[in-house]
Amino acid sequence: MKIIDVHIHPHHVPQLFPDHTLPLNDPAGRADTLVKLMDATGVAVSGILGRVPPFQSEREVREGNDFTVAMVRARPDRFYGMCFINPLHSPSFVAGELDRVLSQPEIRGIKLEIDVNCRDFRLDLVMSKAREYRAVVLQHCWYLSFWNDTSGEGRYRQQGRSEPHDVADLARRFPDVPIIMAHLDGCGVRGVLDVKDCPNVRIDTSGGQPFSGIVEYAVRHLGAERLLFGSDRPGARGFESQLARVQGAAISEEARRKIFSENAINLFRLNEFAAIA
Amino acid sequence: MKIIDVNASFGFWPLQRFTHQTLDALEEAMARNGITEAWVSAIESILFPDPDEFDLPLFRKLAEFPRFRPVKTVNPLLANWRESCTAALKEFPLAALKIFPNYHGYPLGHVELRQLADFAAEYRLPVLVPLRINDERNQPTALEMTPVDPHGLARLAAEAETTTFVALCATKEEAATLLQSPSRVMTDISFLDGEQPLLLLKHRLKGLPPRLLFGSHAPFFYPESSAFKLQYAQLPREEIEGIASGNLCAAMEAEHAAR
Repeated sequence: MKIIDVHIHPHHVPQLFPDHTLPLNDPAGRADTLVKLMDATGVAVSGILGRVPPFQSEREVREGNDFTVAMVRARPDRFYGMCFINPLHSPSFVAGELDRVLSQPEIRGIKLEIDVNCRDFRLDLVMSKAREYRAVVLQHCWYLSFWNDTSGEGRYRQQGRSEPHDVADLARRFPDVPIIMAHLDGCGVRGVLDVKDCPNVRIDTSGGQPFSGIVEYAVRHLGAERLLFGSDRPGARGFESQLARVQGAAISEEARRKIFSENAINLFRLNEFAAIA
Repeated sequence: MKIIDVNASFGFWPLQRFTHQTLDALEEAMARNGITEAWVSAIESILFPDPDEFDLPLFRKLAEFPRFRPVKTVNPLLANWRESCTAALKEFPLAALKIFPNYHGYPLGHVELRQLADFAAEYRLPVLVPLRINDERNQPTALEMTPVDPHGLARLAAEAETTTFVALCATKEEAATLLQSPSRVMTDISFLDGEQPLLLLKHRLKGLPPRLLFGSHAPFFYPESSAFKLQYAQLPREEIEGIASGNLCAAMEAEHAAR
């Protein structure tokens, strides 16, 4: 079964392990290394998400997006890209940067992280650009339970992080823009219910440990058509645990095929990729 | 390749609706993933005050499945823990004892825990210690549980040196702490994550000590996860076989020889 991985983060992993160096300043070399990892695990095509650390400067945003484009250009047979934008910057920068990158064929969507909660009015500009370029918006999302933790994941406590009910609000404001809500396991049962009546919201399966049952729950409540396989590899998560979440789920083979590839092919218009033929 | 899963359980957990809700389904998933033998404890015994109430009925059902071996949950704060274990040992082929210091509320230096460790050594039973059950990020606020401290477990294992302790559900950082400690404590692979997690750990430790075991954390996790970690591991065959079952068998044989 062909696998399309809609959620990988190759930017901020300086070194995977000693035998697999990912050259920081060599997008082509990094792309080749990633393709080796994909080949070893049966992944046909991956969606490279932009460089995503919070609160990036305008220069960092531009450089990250350039790196994404360069990686896709190095292996256009195996990658497509999502650009990153920090909506905290001025509207002129946000509009200009989105025009610059979304007009390039390598980029098929916009990745949003935790700079601005997605209920914020500053998302209006981003979403209008997504609509203009027929781009997909992928929003980081998680229901965190430990609000008082100041270490580790505590950095995600910022006011700007989004939860599934926030994504539902965004989806209702822009019903004609396709949205991927990242991290099914982090969004959980409540998150599935939050977006159930938002048909423009899909959920990717990336992130967290492979707790059983949530994929089946999402298929029952949303339909397999609204789930996409994602791994969050290579830094945050390993492919093994993420593959297990879909491969081990008690769902039909038709549903599994939709999650692993068909839905992504349709959403990102990937039919021209020979690797998925 | 023989795979022994030291981290399996069965039952009801109020925070998760498992994919594998029957023993038949769990057994089928284990078989599908090439797991030869799985050590299974009762999930209800984590929260219900008397583990016997759920352990013993489960153990009778497990007897119908040659792939499964029972694991007794023990709370050393209970007045009858020793009698409970002794009785279970007479009736069932126990593979191990399992303790939950965080859920049952006692420190790793508790005197009764030392006595339990001696009891386990006497009967050559490994003591399994899940550091966690859930992802701390996703726990309901009212049911937040702090993981078991790996440093404390390493200290306990060093002191109770005739007992085999196995940490379950350790993150890669916790696993590195445990495997670098001077104790004999072992750990399973269920929570190890990141690209090529086993190879990553090997490089971090400058070699894989023969104290890494296969554990699936099923039915909380899909057993595919740990099975894929072996399948995709870029490690020499003998190291993969060691994790699958060789390390465990060697440790138990060494303990037997030492006694």
